[in-house]
Amino acid sequence: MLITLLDKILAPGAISTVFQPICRIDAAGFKPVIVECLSRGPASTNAGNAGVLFEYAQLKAAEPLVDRACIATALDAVAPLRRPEKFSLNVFAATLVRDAGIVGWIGERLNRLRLNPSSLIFELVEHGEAWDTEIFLKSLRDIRAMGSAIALDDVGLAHSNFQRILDCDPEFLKLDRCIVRNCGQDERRQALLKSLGLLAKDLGSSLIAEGVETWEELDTLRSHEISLFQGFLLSKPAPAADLPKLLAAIALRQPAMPMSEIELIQKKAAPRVLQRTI
Amino acid sequence: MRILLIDDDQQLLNAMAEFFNAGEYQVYCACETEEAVAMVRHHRFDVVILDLELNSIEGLDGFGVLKALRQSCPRTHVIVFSGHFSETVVEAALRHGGTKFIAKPASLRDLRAGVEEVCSLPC
Repeated sequence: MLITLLDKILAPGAISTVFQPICRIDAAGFKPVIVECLSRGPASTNAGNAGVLFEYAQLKAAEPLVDRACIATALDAVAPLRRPEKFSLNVFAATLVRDAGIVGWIGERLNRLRLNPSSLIFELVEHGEAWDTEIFLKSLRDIRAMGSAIALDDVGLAHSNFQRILDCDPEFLKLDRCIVRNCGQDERRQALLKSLGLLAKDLGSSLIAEGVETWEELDTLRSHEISLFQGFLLSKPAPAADLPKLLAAIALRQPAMPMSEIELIQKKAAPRVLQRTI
Repeated sequence: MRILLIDDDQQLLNAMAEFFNAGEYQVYCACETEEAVAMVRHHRFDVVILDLELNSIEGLDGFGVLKALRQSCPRTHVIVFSGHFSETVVEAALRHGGTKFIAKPASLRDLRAGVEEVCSLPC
C-alpha cells in the first residue's frame, strides 16, 4: 500500500516548529512583541518546504488534520519557553469551517499547558472555496470568547479579501510581502500602503508588515505609520533553543543582519541611514 | 539540472531516482498528484517526467498535473511517461503541454536520452 505524503506529515513527531519574531519599531527602539510559530513538515520529504506542506494540505482537503498536527506541535514547543511576548499560530480559514471543534480543542490544550489564551493570536490563512459563513463566524466568536486575538494573514494576496476583513474584524492585518517588496521605490505600493493604513485605522486594526528585508523597505513602511514588522531584516525563523538569545539581541537593537550587508546599504543610501533615529 | 520524477509506482520511482541521482541531476520525487502539483507550484524544474496514470482520491490525474505545470512553469520540459499510448492519449498529452511522449515500458537509458533530447530544445 502506498504511504502517502500525508501519512508522513501526520506521523507522530514529524512536524517541527520554528519561530519568527514580530517587532515593534519606533523611536524607543526595537521590541519583539509577538512570536509567530511556523510549522515545517518532515525534512526528509517534499513537505520540509512550508509552501509545499500547506499547498499539499489544501489539495488533499486535509487542512483540519494538518492544522491540528501543526498547532499541537507548536503549543508543545511554546509552553516551556514561558515568554512574555504573545505568540501566533496559523490556521486555515477552511479549518474553522470544517472543524467546528478546533477552537475548543485549542482552548483545552492551552489550559493543560498553562498558556494564557489572551497571549494567542490566530493568524487566519485564506484560500477561497465554497464557504459556510455561519460556522466560520461561530468559530471566530469562540476565538474571541476564549480571549484570543485574530490576525488576517497575507493581506493583499489572492483570497485575503475585503469580505474576510469584514467577517473577521481582525486586531491585526498582516501585509503580504507582495506589497512590502521594494515599496521604497514603487509609488503604486506606497499608494496601497497609504490606503491600507487609513483602512486599518478606521477599522481599529494594526498593520504588520511581513517579509521586510531591507532598511529602505523598513523606512518606507515606518513613514506610512506602520510600527510592527517581521522579516529577514530582523530575523530568520529560528528553533526554540535559539529564541531567547535572538529576542534579547533584537531588543538590544541588534537585528540579525550581516555587517557586510549593512555596510553595503549604508554605502547605497548613506543619508537615510545616518538620519535614522531608531 | 533539476528534475522532478512523478510516478505512483514506488519501485519504479526509486529506480529512476537512483539512476538520475548518479548523473548530474538534482532529483526530486513525487508519488501523488497533489504532491506533484504542490511541488511544481513552489519549485522550478528543468525537466519533469510525468506518469499519466496517477492514483488520486481528489480526481486529479496526470493531466491535472500537466495543467498545473503549464500554469506555474511554462518553460519546464515535460516528458509524459505512460503505459497508455494510444494515438488519442499521446495527442492529448502533447496538446496539454507535454514536450515528449515515452511509452512504458522503457529503459532508464531511453529516459535519459529523452531528457537529453528535450534539454537540447529551446525553452
